[in-house]
Amino acid sequence: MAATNSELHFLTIHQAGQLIRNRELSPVELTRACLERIEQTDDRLHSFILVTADDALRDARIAESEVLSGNHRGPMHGIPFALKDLYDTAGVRTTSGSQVDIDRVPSEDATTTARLKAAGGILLGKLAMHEFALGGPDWTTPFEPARNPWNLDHITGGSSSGSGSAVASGQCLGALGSCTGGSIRGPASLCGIVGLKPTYGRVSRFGVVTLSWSQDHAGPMTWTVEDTAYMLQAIAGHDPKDPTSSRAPVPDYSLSLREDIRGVRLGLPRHYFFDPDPSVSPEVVATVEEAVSAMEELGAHVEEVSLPSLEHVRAANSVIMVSEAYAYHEPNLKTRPQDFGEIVRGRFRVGALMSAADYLQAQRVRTWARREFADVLKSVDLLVTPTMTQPAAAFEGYDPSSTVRGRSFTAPFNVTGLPAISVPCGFTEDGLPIGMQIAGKPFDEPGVLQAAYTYQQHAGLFEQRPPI
Amino acid sequence: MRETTDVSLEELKLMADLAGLGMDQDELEELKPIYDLYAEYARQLHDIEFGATEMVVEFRPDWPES
Repeated sequence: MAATNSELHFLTIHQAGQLIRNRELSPVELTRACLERIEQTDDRLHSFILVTADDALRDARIAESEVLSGNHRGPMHGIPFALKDLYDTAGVRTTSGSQVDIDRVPSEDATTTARLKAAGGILLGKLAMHEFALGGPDWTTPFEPARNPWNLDHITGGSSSGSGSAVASGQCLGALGSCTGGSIRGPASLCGIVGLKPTYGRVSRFGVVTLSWSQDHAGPMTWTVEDTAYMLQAIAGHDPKDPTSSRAPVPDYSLSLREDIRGVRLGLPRHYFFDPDPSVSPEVVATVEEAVSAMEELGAHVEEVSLPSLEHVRAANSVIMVSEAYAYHEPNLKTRPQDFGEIVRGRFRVGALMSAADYLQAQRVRTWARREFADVLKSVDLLVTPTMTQPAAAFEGYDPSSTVRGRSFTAPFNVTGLPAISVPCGFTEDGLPIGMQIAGKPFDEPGVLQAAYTYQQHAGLFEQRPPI
Repeated sequence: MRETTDVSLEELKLMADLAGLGMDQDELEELKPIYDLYAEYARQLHDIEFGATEMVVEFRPDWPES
């Protein structure tokens, strides 16, 4: 099979999938192109903790053989992807970005890992992340923090830091991140890619190392909305190994890839997401306002909505997160605290100092927020907001506590469990990406995807790649 | 309900000891600012007046499938 593009690593999953299906592109060539891209760029980006090149090439040859023999499995067949290093991979080290798990080799794949492999995906390796999916860039952990492909002096956001930088830079065509307070949408927004946090229960958490059982979500990070739909299709669905997995039927997400947002009611909670606040960048808000106007011009109806619980949701997200994280990590924190990085060790220890009443009060706020969001989503179809309060910060002078201070635009959807996507909607004057967040009703990933797809096709921002 | 987040280092040490964290003085001093931040979040949560609506933490009486 012959290559048709001089920059194969910048193909989208959709483009590459079509070429592979038509036998115009070999999965082996595509995998080699990604491995070369990693080789050329990762000394600067530090996206990868581990590259499994030999296994990837072996799997690519199998995929090639299957396609040539007429056994094409679908849009992910032969597509190189990578995993945040908290997704279990049988026989392949899975560190969660920590010295604590530096030698941990799972015996079984996470359900999501297994499903992507079953769909024909080619695993390239394991991606950098903030230790145990919390905190920020931490030089007291064993791995160099990933850098933002749009400006190497800036952070990627996290905790799915390597997933953001790898997809944006064309090291892989798609990745999985995980999200407890914004760890998929945050790096997606700051790295100029698409990231979807599905509804809680939509995608299995089995084999994904826990930060906070009740707030952890697994989801795809890709260059386009279309590609996110393909990855979601491969990983969504009930998993008996995950007790929180939903039995809700999985729709055909490709049916959502239609450019039509006419008549869709978009709710804007201005009081929290758009009104001036010291923790929020006016440049980010102005850019998202323009994107909302564009969606209105495409036929959406925009109306303001009020969600008073938002003022307290970040507090609930934070208290639940550290309390559940401490419960999970308590044995290691007591016996080998020195193996945790400084940031995470401190945050997890705070979890030990929260009272049962603190935790339960946070859960009561969660009940409040879920009821309030459910009520508002009777009068509008989707909520639209900026994804992040700020563009990517510079490493120099970066304050890790900034990730828990001020407003969080992403945490409300972890607390409520609602599906939410980040789609690129512009750049700052300094050339750093800005993302728009679109959230919907439980299990309305189709509605979220369709609105994001319509906007992305209209905006056309996916033509511009980072300058690395 | 927590009255104040102004927990002294001595009190924080006592809390950490009771939790079995076994932290030394340097670690406690490092922990204090981040503890204060989360304690403020907890205080904020306790200050919410939910009014007449019962805001329950739900228990669902369904059993896992065998």
